[in-house]
Amino acid sequence: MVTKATQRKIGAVLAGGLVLGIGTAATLAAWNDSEFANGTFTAGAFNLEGSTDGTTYADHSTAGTAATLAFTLPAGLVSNMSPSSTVYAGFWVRLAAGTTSAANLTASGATADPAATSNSDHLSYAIYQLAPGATCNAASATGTPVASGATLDALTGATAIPLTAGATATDPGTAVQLCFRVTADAALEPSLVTNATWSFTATSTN
Amino acid sequence: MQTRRDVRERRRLHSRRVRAVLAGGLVLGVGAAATLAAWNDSEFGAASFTAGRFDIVGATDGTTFSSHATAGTAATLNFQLAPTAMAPGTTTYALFSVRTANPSVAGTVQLTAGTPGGTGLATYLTYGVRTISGTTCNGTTYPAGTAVVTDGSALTAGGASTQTVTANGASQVNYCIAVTLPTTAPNAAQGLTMSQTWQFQGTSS
Repeated sequence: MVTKATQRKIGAVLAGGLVLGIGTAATLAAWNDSEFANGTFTAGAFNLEGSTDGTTYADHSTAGTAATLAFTLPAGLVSNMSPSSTVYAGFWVRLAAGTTSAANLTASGATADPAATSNSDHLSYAIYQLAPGATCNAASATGTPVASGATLDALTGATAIPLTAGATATDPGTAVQLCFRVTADAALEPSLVTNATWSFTATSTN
Repeated sequence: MQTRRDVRERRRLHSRRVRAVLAGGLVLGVGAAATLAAWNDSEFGAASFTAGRFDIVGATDGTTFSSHATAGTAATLNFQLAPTAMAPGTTTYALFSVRTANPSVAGTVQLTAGTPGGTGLATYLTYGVRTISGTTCNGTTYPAGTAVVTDGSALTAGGASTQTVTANGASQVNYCIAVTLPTTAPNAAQGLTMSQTWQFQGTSS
């Protein structure tokens, strides 16, 4: 049963709470008004793609999916090289449609089969930048290379090549042809098969 | 034994006493009336009291101010280098000016940031806010400003200090907001979006 004394106590506590409530309200004794502003941000997209024929482009973004270069010039020589012979192949790269920023392209690595079991130490290479429509051969592969190696697994003198993004979201950027020249030295060992892989990295430049 | 005469005598006496008391009261009444026999004049002062107003307004161009009092009516900031395709290293700038309306009392403004929306670009973006003297907010004027939100802060960071707005729109505070996609942003950031709403809460002073 609730006694009168208990009721009085409850009443006193409630009254105390009321006083506290008034105190809290008093701290809001300043006026407030707000302004809101917003913004939306979207990151761009970036994709480099390559082609071995200058027509059909695809992604080859890991060493395992590397495009196989067509060292077809001079005809038939790549599978039958002899000391001091030289072969050529073109590789085209461009920024894929939808890419939103330009880029610098740089040769970023060269790997090859071990010298003990291949001719990687007897093959040197140089890569030249050509116009997309040019033919990669002895006549065009001249001047300063954008990368070269005294052996197939070496990489020296890598120079950045600027790439442009497409004008619209559906246009790819302008392609650049990379002309590979591979030369056998006089000590080329007979019958050995040598595989080499080059990587190129495009870095966005806004 | 009480005779009839005695009774009459006593009544008469009683009556005299009552009359005496009444007469005395009359005399007092006259005295009281006499105190009013002086001239009076008064002066009255009157005043009406009106509560002031506190109202702040904002502008994205530094000149056209209006009220954006809820998140739903937020002003759309005009970021330079429209941030539709940000790449690592991109910084984009936008101005938001705040001042009091006219009439309005003075106050202070506290910047707070909302919860970023979008598809996750907020993880990679950083930003900073500075107050600048003019209304041109870009990479040239920003470095000369006074920091409100430290450069490189997460998008959820609020202002480290409050700014004063004077009464009746006499002066404006120009916030220059710089949002950056750092050069370290990984490939995973590509194609993501982020939207953010900033609140500039004014408190009267």
